[in-house]
Amino acid sequence: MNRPYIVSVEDNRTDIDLMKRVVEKEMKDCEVEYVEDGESAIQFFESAKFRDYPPKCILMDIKLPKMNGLEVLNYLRNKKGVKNVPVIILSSSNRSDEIEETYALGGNSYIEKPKNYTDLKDKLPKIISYWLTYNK
Amino acid sequence: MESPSTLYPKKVTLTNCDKEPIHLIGNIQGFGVLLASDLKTDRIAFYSENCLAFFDKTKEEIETFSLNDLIPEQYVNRVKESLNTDYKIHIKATLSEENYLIISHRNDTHLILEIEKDENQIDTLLFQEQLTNIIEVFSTASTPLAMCNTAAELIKDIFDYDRVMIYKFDQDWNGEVIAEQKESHLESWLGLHYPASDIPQQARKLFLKQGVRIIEDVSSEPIPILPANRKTSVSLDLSKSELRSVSPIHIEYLRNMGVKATLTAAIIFQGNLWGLIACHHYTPRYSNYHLRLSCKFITQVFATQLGLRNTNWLLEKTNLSNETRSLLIEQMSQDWNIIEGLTAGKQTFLDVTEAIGGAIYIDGKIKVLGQAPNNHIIHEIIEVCHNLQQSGIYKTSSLSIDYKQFKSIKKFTSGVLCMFISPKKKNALIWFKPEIIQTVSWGGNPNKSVVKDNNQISPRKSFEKWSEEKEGYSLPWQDYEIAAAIALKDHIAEVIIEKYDKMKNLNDQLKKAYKELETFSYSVSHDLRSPLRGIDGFAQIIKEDYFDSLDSYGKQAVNTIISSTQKMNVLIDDILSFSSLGKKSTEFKEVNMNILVEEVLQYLQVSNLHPNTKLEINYLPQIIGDKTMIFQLMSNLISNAFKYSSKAKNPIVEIGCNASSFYVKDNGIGFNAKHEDRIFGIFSRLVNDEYEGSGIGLAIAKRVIEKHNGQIWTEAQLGKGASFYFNLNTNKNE
Repeated sequence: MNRPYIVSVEDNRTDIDLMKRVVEKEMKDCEVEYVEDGESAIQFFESAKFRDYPPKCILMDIKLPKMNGLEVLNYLRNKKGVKNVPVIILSSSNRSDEIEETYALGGNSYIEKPKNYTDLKDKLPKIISYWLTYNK
Repeated sequence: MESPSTLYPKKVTLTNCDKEPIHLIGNIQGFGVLLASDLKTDRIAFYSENCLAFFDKTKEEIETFSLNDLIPEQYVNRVKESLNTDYKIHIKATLSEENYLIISHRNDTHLILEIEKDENQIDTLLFQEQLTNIIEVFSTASTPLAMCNTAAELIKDIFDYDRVMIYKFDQDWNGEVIAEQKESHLESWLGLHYPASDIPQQARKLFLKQGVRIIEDVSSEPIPILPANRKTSVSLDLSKSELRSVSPIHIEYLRNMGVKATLTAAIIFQGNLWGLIACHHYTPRYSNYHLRLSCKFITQVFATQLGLRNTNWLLEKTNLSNETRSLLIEQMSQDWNIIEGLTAGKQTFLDVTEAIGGAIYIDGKIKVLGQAPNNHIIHEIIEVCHNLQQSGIYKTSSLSIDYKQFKSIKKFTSGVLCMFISPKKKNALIWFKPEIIQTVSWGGNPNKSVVKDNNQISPRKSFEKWSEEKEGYSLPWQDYEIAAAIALKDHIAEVIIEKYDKMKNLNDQLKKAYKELETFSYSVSHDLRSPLRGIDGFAQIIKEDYFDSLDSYGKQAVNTIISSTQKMNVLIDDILSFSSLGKKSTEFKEVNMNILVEEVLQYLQVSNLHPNTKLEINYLPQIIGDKTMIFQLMSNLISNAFKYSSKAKNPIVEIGCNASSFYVKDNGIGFNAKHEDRIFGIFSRLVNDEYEGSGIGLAIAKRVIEKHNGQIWTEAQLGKGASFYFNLNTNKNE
C-alpha cells in the first residue's frame, strides 16, 4: 500500500534542502516527491504513479525555469481524467495580480514563501498537515 | 429747427470753445470773395456778402445764378477740373480788367471758389534759389533744434513777419516755443509754454486739413457768407477754405496779445501734428496765395527733414536696443535662468531703454537693478500697474502725481514702464526713470488761461511770463523704448516656454528613471530573499545539530550570521514597501485614526518591547486617506519615537493632533535641526548603529504624505527629543 505523499515543485536546491530537513525533522511520516522544474512536473503528471496514486497536494513555486508555476497549474487543471489535486502556489512577491491568477486558474491557495528558516519551520508543517487531512 | 452739427452756434464763449465748429463759422476774411456752387444743380448755393460789390450784382441776381453767369466760361471750365481731385487748383483770371487768382476746391456737396488779388509774385528764379538753399541748410543743421532755428530764420527772411516761432506740442498738446526769430524791440517768447486750451482740439484738426492759414487783420469785420436759398438750414463747410474767418475767441486771444496779423503753418509728420510755425505781426499784414504756398512748401521740407532726423535717431536707438536684446536672450538661454540672464551679464534688461533702474518679478521673486525702490514698494507698484495695464503694458512719467503714495520715491521713480510677462501671475519687468525737475515758463498763468468778466469767460489778458517748478515728472517713455520692452517681453515668454518644455522633458525622464529604479529594487529585493533564506537556514541547521561541537567563538559566529540575516530581511521588507508605494494607486476612505493607532501599537508590540515608556495618546480626528499607507506612516513614526527614546531616563511618547496637524513626539535623542531636510531622504540616517534601522522608514513616511498631498516636518533638538508633524490634503472623491 502506498503512503500518502505530496509533491514539491521547486528549482532552488537550497530551498529543497531546507524543506527536506524540515520535513524529516518535523513530519516523520510524510513523504515528499521533489520535482525541480515545470517540464519534469508535467512528465510526472503523465506517469502511472500520478494516475493511480495522485499526491495529497502539490506545493508549487511560482518562479520556475522553462514553465512557470502558473502555467504548470493551468496544464494540470486542463488535463482530462485527473481528480482535483490541491495546488498551493508559493511566491516571494505577494503580488495581487499573481494571487488573482492563481485562483482564476483553479489554484487552491497562494502563500508567501517563508522569509527565513524559522518561518519555514513554523509554516511548512502546518501547510502540509492541513492538505494531508484535506478531503480525507 | 436748426441741426446743431451743421450750423455755427449763435454765441461762442470759452465754455463751449472746445466744441466750437470753426469750419462752419459762416464768415470769411475780407482779402477775397467766396462763391460756392451746388454740385448737383450747378447753381450758386453760397456767396460772401462782398460778392455783391465785387460782381456788381444784387442778391436776387446772384441767388439765381450759376457760376457761368458771374465768371467767363473759360475760367469756369478750368476751375471745374478741381472736381476730380482733392487738391486745390488755382488759375490766373482777368476780371473787370484786373488780375485775380481763382483758387478752387471741392467738398462733398459744393465747389468752392475763392478769388484773391493776384499780386506780383516772388521772382521764380529767386524762389528756386531760395528753395535750394533751404534744403541744403536743413540737411546741414547739426541737431533738430538747430534745424528749427534755421527754419525760423528762413521764414522770417522770406515772409518778414515781426515774430516767427517754432511751436512744438508735447504729449498733452501743451505748446512750447522752441525756436524764435523776432524784431529786436520785441520781448522774447523763446522757451515759453502755452496750455493745450490755447489751440483747442478742433483747431488742431483743421490744421491737418488746411496746412497754412493767415489772419490779415484781427480788427477787420468778418464778411458773412450768405445762402442763395434763404431757407437753408445748413452752413458751408469751410475746412479747406483760404479765406475762412477764425474763431472770435482766437481773435480776442490775439488782440489780448497785441497781435494784429498772423501766418500759421502746420508741421505735420506721419500724419500727426508735431507743431506749428507761427508768425505774428503787430500791424495788419496780408500774405498772398503764392507766399502761402511757398510757406507750405518750406514747412513740408522742414517737416520731412525733421522726420528723417527723428527716424534716423530712432533707428540708431532701435538697433542698439536690438543688439542688447539679442545678447540678453543669449544670456537667458545659456543657463535657462531668466532672472540671471537679464540681470547678471555685461548687459542687463535696463539697457534696452534709457531707464536708470528696474525690477524683475517672477514667481514671487524680485530682483532689482540700479536705482529702484524696495521690494515692498515694488509690490505696490506692480499692483497699481496691474490694475491699469492695457494689453499687458502700463507706463507713466508721473507716478507720484498719479498716485500720491509714491511721493517719497519720486526722485528715482517718477517714470514707470511696466510690462507684464504673464498678467495672471503678475510676472513683470519694470523700468524706472528719475524725476527731472524743470522750470516751466508759461505765456501767462496757465491756471488762469481764462478770465471772467461780465458773466462771460474770455481768454486771459495777461501773457506775462509765469514760471513754475514742474516736479514729479520723468522724461517721457519713447516709442522705441516701449517697442523694445514689448519685444523683450515676447522673447522672455518664448524662453519660458522653451524652458518649460525642457524641464518637462527632464521631469519625464526622471519619472521614467525613478520608475525603473523602483522596479529594479523591487525585483532585486525579492531575488535577495532566496539566498538569504539559504544562509539563514543552514546557519540555523548548524545551530540545531552542531552547536555543541563548536567552541564559543564558533557559536558566536553562527549567531552573528543568523542575526545579520534577520537585519537584512528587515531591510528588504522596508525597501519593498517603499518601492511598492510608488506603484500602488491610492484608495481614499475615511480612516478612524484612534483605532488605527491602537492597531499600530499592537503590531509594534510596544507594551512588550517598551514597558517603561510612558505613552500619551490624545484625541485623534478622523481623516480621509489610504488606510494601508497611513498605517505604514504611523508605524514608522511611532516605532521611531519608541526606538529613539528607549534609552532616555523617563521615556515619553506622545501622539495627538492640534489644529490640522497630527504629531508624534518623543523625548529621546533628537537630532540637529539643520539636518531636517536630510532626514526624510532614503538611506539617510543621522544616528549611529546603536539604534537599528534601515534608513528607509522616514522616506516611506514622506512618500505616504506626498501621496496624500500633505506636508510633513519636524521640530527637534539634539539630545532633547524630536517631534514629527504632518497634515493631509485629501478629498474622498480624489
